[in-house]
Amino acid sequence: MRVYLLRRVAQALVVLFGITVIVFLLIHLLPGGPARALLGPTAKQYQLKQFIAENGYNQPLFVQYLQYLGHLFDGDLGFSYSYNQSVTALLAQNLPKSVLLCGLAIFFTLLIAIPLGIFQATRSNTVPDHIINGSAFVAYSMPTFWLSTLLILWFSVSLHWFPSQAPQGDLGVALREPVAMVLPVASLTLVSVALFSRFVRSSATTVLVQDYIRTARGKGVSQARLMYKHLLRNALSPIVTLIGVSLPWLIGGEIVVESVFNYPGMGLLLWKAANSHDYPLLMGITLVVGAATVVGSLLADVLYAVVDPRVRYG
Amino acid sequence: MAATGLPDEATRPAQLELDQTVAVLNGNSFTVPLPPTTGEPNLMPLTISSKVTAARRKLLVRTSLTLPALLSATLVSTGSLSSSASASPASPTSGGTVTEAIVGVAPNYIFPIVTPAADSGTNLVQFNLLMYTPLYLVGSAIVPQYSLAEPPVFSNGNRTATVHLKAFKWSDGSPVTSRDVSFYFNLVKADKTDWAGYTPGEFPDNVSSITTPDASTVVFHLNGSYDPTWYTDNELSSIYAFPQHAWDKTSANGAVGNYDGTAAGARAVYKYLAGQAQNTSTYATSPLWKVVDGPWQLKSWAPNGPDVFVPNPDFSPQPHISQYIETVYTSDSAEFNALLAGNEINIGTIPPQDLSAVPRLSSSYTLNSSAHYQIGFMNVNFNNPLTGPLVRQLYIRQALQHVEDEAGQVNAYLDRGKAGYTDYGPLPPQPPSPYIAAAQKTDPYPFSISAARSLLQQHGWDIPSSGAATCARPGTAANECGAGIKPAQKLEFNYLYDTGETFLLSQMANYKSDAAQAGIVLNMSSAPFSTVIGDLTECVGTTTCPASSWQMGDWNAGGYNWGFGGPYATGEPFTEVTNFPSQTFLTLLKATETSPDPIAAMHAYDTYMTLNLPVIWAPTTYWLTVVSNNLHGVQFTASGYENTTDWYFSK
Repeated sequence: MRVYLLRRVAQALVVLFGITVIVFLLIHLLPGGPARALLGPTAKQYQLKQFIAENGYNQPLFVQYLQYLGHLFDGDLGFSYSYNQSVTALLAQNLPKSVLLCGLAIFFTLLIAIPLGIFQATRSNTVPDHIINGSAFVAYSMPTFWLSTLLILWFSVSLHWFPSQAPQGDLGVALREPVAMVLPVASLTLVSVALFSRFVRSSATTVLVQDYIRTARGKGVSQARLMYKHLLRNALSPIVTLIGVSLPWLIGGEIVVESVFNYPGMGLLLWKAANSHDYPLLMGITLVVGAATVVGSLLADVLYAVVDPRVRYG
Repeated sequence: MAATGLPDEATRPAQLELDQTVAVLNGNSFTVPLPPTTGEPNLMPLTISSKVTAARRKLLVRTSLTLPALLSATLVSTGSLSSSASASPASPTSGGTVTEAIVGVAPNYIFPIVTPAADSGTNLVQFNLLMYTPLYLVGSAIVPQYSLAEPPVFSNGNRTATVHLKAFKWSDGSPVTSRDVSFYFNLVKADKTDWAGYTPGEFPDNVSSITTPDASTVVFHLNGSYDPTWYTDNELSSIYAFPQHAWDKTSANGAVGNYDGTAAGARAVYKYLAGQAQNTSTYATSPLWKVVDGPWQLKSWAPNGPDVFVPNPDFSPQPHISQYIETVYTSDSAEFNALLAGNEINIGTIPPQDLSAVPRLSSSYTLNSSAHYQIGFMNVNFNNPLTGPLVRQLYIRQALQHVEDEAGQVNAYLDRGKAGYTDYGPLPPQPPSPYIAAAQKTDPYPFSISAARSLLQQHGWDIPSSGAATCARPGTAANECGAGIKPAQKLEFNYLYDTGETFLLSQMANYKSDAAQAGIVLNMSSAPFSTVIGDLTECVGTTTCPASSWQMGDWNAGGYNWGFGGPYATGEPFTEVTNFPSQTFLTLLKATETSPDPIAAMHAYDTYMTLNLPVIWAPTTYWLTVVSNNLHGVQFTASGYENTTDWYFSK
């Protein structure tokens, strides 16, 4: 296991390096360049040239990249010229908020989807199963922005139960105003439950017809013990994968929901950075999300071995 | 024309009535005041010098464009005039908090010598101008209550400008003196290229020296004779006073001195202050930024807002309200949702495409529609090797203008003129100003496909029943296609515009359709704004362009292409974003800066540009704002400045 982990970590580092190279190149291939994008159409020619020179964008790409790597090893992710703040500070402000939003969404998704999927599996092809299936398809096929807007119209504009926008300010404000988190978390949760419950149902349905389940039933194991000791653990493997691949989402934020509920997190930060061609910020976000992707994948593999004793790495 | 649903050319009204328009809010009709036909009352406007003006222009462009409402309520105005958001009670009540919605990025640069990267409308209008007072805030005229000085006195053949400061105080009780103005001048002069408002040859280059004969007098000795109106509106209005007694230092722990007396010292001071401005976490706590001479002090600041301001106790007149909050919204849809939900927003912006949804808002809001100093146009590339020779022919530009159905587009896509208006020239058509020439007041190239076809046919173009016209008579004679146009060359352009603006999408579809009927083929493509402005300014300042360069295009920053700080709208956009090859233009432009007769100079400039089409003129939009009914005294200026000290609540 240790060798496996070391090998995976080494692979992760290589992948991260590759990500920085590819993203760096892609960003610099974006048409338009950062000067006009940031300074706007009214910028004068000398200002454009000065901006390009001051930020080193007139140097060969590999020189720029090496300088970027050098700063990276010093722990310096750069300075966002569109936000007038260091990239590190921006990540520190926005990342916890995205983690809170997406983390809550994942938590409630699991809380709902796992029992729901098991319930469906144990009542496969019954009326309740069909109803839940249909509802899941509706929820999953609904664009997030549409669902979010509907929730605002119903629960905020009409009923005045919840605010139309998420808490404003830092993470502390978000924690102090849980009511304002309800609608954004619900938007993400409703869509995710549909997806996760389908996976759980499918996996549990497969497990239910396994010999060991039939044997356990034959030995008189109680329904509760059968569900939670024999069925659940074996049916959770795909969920582990989903949780693992959700880590980038957790870190990277959710552009649509963040936008609709005015909740500036990592998703919106990335969108704005792309719009303004804010290279340092784009690279910083990409690096963090890339790392999250690699770590998420690694975590999923490790958790696989934990939940399924048949899986062993050597 | 009708392919896009506009009325037939023959039946369309020549021009829309723009005296006033009626909007419906919550089911009730009411009159929305539109720009008056005469000058601006002396309440609002601000003049943001060409320097500051430049900042404002960009601000206008970027804000609207990235997130339409960004300018939010702040930039709307009912014409040049101020218009009250709601009926004003007889006497103001003191206290209360006004919350204004800003869409986009929160203000993030506190030092008023704004760098090009930080040059945005929010930083200028919703940050710097709240805390720091310029020598002159100018709209259609100087706004006395927000100007540090009495109107300037020009002498010595307009080579000297003498400025007398009024009795302003810094928030620490110290008087604002001429030394503070010279301190500002020294910093800007030492680091002018770091200042967003700097244009080579203009301020501070056109100041040979300044003297301060006493504590309240500053004399600017100019390097030539300048038009006083232009110099006041575009140069003096960009000048601030900085608290020399608090800022003239080179480090946090260093003593205050007279470091700005030398260029090296001034650079060191600038470097220190600009460095502090990059430390956003100290904006609300640093002693540096506590010293202000504007109406407001920053109480708290957060990267994504809200930003909270409280009155500067040493500013007179004191604001009626006790607190002003700027809440930042990530998008105009998020802001509109908040308005729908009845969140505590007192002033919010409505994107033009959402005008029809305004009746869904609570009856506690009043809609305001107002014009800013802005123009609309489509850009043509005179230097593209393939299509440059085409657009260098005036008759082809005239044909391109004839197929632009401005009135029809305003009628069909801008809510019958409630959300926008036509523009036929380089000066902001609204609010009215004395600088607009007769040529721009009436459409010199009215929509007419037949006129466009006729122009082309007279110059040797064959127009097929469908597809692009071809040059049948190449040559340079009066009835031939023109210099550089090849035999059988097609009248066809690649056209790039930015995505996301509902009005622009409709406008482009309509323009393409109408142009096609005249044998002009436009191959439309769209891209994000940041890409479009990069492409469409690629060949500015050069005489040659690659064949792959842009041919025609349009960016639409929320309904306009360029914003100005006031009605004295010089030709800067056409030197910055076009490659219009005209020496006459440059001569006329220079005259607007130096002529002793500004109106005559502006008329000459306006007439030439209107008729010679450096761009294809296009409609622009109003700024639409809602203000809560219990908030009074809100005046919207065409320049965008907010009269926050006049705002008050009713009981």
